[in-house]
Amino acid sequence: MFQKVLISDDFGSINQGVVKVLEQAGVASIKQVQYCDDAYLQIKSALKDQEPYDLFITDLNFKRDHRDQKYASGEAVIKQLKMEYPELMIIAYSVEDRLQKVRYLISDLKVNAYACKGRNGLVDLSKAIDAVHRKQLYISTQVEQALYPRNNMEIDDYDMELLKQLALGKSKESISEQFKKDAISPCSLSSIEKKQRNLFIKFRATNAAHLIGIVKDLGLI
Amino acid sequence: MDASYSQQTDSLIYYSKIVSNPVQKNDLARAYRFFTHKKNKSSRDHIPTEEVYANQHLADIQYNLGYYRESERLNLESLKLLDQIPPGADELWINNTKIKILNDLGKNHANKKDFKEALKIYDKALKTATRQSDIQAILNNKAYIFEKQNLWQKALDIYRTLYHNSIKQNDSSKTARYLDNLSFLKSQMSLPDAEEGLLQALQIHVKRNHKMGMATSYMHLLKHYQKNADTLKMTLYSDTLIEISKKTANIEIKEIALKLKLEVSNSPFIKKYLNFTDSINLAKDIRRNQFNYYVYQYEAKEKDLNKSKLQNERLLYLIIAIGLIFVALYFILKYKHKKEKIQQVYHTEVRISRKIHDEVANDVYHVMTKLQDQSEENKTLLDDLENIYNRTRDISKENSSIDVSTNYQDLLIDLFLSYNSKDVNVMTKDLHRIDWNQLNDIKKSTMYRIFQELLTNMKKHSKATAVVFNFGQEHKKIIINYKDNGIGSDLKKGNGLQNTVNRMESINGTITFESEVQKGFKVLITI
Repeated sequence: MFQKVLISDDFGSINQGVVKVLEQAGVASIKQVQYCDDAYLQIKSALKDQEPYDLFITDLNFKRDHRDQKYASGEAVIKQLKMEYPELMIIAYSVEDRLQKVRYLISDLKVNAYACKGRNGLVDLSKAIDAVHRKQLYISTQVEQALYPRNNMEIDDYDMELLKQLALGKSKESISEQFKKDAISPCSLSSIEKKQRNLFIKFRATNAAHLIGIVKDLGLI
Repeated sequence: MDASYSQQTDSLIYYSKIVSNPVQKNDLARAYRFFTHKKNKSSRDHIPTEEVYANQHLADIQYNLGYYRESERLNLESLKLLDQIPPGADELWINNTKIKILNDLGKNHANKKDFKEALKIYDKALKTATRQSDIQAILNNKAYIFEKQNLWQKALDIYRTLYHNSIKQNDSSKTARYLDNLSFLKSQMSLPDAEEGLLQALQIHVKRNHKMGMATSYMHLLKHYQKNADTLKMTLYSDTLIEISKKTANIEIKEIALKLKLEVSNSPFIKKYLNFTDSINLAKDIRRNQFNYYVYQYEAKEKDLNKSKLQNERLLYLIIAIGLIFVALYFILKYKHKKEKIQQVYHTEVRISRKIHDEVANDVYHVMTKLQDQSEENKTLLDDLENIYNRTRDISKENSSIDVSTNYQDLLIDLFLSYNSKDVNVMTKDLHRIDWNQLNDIKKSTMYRIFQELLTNMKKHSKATAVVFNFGQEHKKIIINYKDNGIGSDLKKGNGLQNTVNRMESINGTITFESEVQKGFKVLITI
């Protein structure tokens, strides 16, 4: 398990929960700070003393107060730290669940895990600590869509054509024939099967009749 | 073409010369025929400048022949023609011609003894005159008027100046004319050296063989001697004048020569007769000329009236234009103000959302974490708290800042994806076919918020398992069809959707809802 962990969050009581999780996980040295600038300085001085942190858990949003901060957000300090010490493990722990933000943190800033605060926040966090320790990426389920391909939920022209044919009550075989004739590709039976399965998933349908029912309800055909 | 043109100009110059100094008896008649023909031709061809040119020569001929009334009529006609020349023509030529016409008119008035009018015209001419020779000629004429009005000192000053100037300029023709005028005035004022000056002027005229000048000189000398009762010299010079008058075509000179000859005779009947004819002619002239002048004046006034009408019309257009500009400005400012207002609303929303997030949601979460590790009995309490927490977060999220300057399509996909869950799938159709750049940032943010509110509403109430956003473009409008397969609602007023209507109105878009219980929820948005 990690030996030395730094927690940065402006709510002390939230940190307490996190500390409890870390203690349960068997982390020996746990340090808490409430400002991003402090976090940065702590990590730098620990490195200088050759007793570096192996994990940094940080919130993203910090309330602004009388202290002027060089790093006003978790995002800013993550960016700086990952640039200077790419080997430092970082878990973002935030209420933020906008996908573009999550995607930016994971893809661009290369944080090692993203845990959402919430009802199951601490559970997610302990899962994240565990995963990061095993050198695996972790993302809370409510934001895991961030890494999905973006065109996943688009109904394209091919889908529409397929739905029309299905609505006519045609078998997969005759659809394949029809597509061949109309030069619509792909037209192989297996491709059509695969596409149909995808449509079942997209529309949460159990069979072709159910699918057509939903699609008609949605006014697509 | 060139040959005929140069021939034409040659003949123009030839006849123009004839007019100013006729030699043969039929010279003026030939010139008159030529310029009448010319005038008619240019009138037919609509060349007003040439018409004026010809007309002026006709006026000169008439003047030289002593037909002042006819000359004046032609001058007035020329003046009218000049006014008709559209702007942009040879301004200098127009100006010079106008001065010449005014000068001639003044002379005509002077001949009619309408001195007031003559002076008025000369002053008008002086205002427009720029050439030295023009100014001199006008001043000379003015002095002549003063002389006729017995304002001798005024006349004397002008003649003197003109005479000295002509000597300086070494212009013998002018020197002769001004000296003659000056000396004749002196004669009337009974000043010394009058006779000397008159003789000197005659000398110059003789030297230059200037018939008209000589005639004038003799006339003046005769009058001088008449005044001084020198009958001997009078008889001598009147005979000479008659001789000269025979050689010129100017009937006026002939008449004056004869008249002076008669006056020399000293018979009371002759004097009576002369006075009588003088007054008859004068009365006739005055009547005719006044009529001419006032006809022209009346027409000029009419023209001024039309001009001012035109100006009024222009003023009206100007006022309308200014009015339109103000109206446009009003709408621009209104639009700007509206934009600022939307922006302000947006900023306020963002600020409040941040506050809700920072101060309420975080506090609730804070309490939740405290309870999380406690025993089972807190579970219901925790559930309730989570509910509150989620609702607070939703409010915060719906109003938080959106960076629409980046890829707006990706932003929308992320929004839709974030509402995907184990219960519901949010799908799109033809999203990539829309060019979002046609919307400004305010419109983009507003649309984002509306999608967000529709989805939040869906998540809360609809129990739908599938949602489709169908995008389309019709001309310059983007049309979005939202449809879910949820339980629908009976669209009571006051559910959260009123907010979307307000938002759409603020960006001049429309949003309509359609729903029946158990038939899903349908929304049509156009922007």
